[in-house]
Amino acid sequence: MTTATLAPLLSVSYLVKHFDVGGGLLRGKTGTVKAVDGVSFDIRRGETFGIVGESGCGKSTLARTLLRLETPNSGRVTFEGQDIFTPQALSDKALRRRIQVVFQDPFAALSPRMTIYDVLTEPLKIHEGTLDKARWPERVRELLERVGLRPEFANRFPHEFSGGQLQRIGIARALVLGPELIILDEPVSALDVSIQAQVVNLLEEVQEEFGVAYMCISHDLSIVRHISDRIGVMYLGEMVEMGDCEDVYETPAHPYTKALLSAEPEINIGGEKRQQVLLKGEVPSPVNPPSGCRFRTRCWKAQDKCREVPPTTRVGDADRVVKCHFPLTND
Amino acid sequence: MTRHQFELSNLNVAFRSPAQTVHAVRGVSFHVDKGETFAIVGESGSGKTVSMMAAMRLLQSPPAHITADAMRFKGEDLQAVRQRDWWRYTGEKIAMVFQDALTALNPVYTVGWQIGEMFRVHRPQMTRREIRAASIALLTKVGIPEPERRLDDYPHQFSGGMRQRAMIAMGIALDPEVLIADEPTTALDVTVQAQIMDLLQQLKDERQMSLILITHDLGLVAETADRVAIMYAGTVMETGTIRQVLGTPRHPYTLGLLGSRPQAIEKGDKLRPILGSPPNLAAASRGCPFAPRCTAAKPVCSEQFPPTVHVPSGQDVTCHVVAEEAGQGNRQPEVTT
Repeated sequence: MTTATLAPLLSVSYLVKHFDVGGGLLRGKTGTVKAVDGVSFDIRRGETFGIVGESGCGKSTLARTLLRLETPNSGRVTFEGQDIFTPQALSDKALRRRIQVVFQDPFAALSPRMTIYDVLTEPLKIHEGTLDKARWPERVRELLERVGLRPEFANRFPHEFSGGQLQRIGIARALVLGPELIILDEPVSALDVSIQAQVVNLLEEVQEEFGVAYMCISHDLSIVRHISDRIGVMYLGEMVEMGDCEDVYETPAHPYTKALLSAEPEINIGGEKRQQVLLKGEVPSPVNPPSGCRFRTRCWKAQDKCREVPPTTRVGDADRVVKCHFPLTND
Repeated sequence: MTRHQFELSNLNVAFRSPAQTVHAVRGVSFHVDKGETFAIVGESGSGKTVSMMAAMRLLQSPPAHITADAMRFKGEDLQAVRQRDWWRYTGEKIAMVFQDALTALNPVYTVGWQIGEMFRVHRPQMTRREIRAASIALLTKVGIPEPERRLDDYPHQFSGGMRQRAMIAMGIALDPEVLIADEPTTALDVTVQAQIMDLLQQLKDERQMSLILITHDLGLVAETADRVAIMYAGTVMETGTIRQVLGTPRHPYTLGLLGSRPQAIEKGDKLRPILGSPPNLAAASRGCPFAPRCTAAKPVCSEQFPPTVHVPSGQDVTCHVVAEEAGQGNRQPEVTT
């Protein structure tokens, strides 16, 4: 991206979000889920930042926190230099207008009792004064055409549409208020394979046209690779590796990144059987993560030091960030 | 003719209601041999699960209306088996592992009770102690740590990967010769998916079991299956070995699916999706179900159901355009298997 040298649009530093787990009535708190535990990253204007990781790694909690649906325990998030969690910022609706979201399940994300026109104009109702009411029908028409739907669909209800069409409507809704950042939470994983590519192309066209930045969360590694400029890899609430998308995919430095990427099946007819790193066990509980490095229980390179000392985050060439005592060297 | 472990020929499934008839499966035929993995690939609604549910007699009729020229297990006619004897086939000869382990397991019984049920029903001579020992051995086999303790856990105490392992344990409990695995890893993370596929592969090799793998993931198919059928809107569009179908695909739908993947293009280029969306099966046309989305479609495609032709690279393709190119237009060829 050409804007790489400019100040970041969104800047997250040492963000922590823990949830208390209760032991039942009157028994009080028994533990803490460390869903997001000290995560830092920037998103630049107009770029796509991808986040990959397995379920339970904290990617959805991170998204919810950035949307201010959760209040962080500590850490700082600034949007164009402005802290988004100060009391003034929290009551500032204008800030909400600038960060929008597209959810995973398009069937659940739209109210079945509202027509598409109502769905698309509700943000305008909430953010009064954004657009003169007389111009709403025109705006709805424009948006529907932009996302590849017929303008007369505005009078229909969600049940009349397929999953792919509903996701297009979800994207239109996110665009109504002209946001600068859209958080995409698994934007295509609920869609049929033959429809996914259509929606991915639409997201890219929208980005080119409106210059909006994306934070794209997905477990589909090939989709994230396709649309991201930079990616972050999360494991048990931590960002274990981050950097330029192609660099990370080509030469993963964190053992977890390498294992995750190698687990994705690929079509390679007649080629050599690829090297696969098969991890032992499953992701440990975020209530009681392993001591030292959180990945050490499944890591084939783990040594004593990994159990004793948590690795620090190191910044290498080309802003590659790795949180590992013994990063892989790719020779 | 060779005797296949499992064979379906011209299976049709329709769901009838007073208002409409949904043609979920139209003329599906395939077979699987000993020790082989056969994959059925398709999008949701393509009929891949319904085909296997029909074969396993898991569909309620009515509304399901099932017809087939043949359904055979090692040459034996499965359609002739009386309903009261059917239980001897399920689990023992052909077993099925269902997609969503959380809904497939009963939440109010322990995992051990549910695995043990296989033995209580099929091996009445076994004592409770023997059943418990056998269940522990199964959990060990599928890689669940501390099986003695985990046997008394309820499904909600298991993680997603462990539930799927428990489902597989139930599936292989009676040493079936054919195992049908319906999207066994769809709900799981990729690192756990790799473990589960590794386990299935290992069990298959050990027991010379045949595996029918239902999935929508072409990558997974390429890495684990021997042969594949690509389904669309209830019809098998293309079928052959992995090398034939994924290496030299001929059907426009297979080509479209492979071409729409991010791996098919250079980074920075636009994806090349299949346009349009899957058809409504209640309004089934006479012609090829893929015709409305097909870039190669001709007038005949929307009028007549396409013939299945055997192409030089070895696979069978159900397509007018491919048939014409092969000089076999509109002639139903003998499919040699």
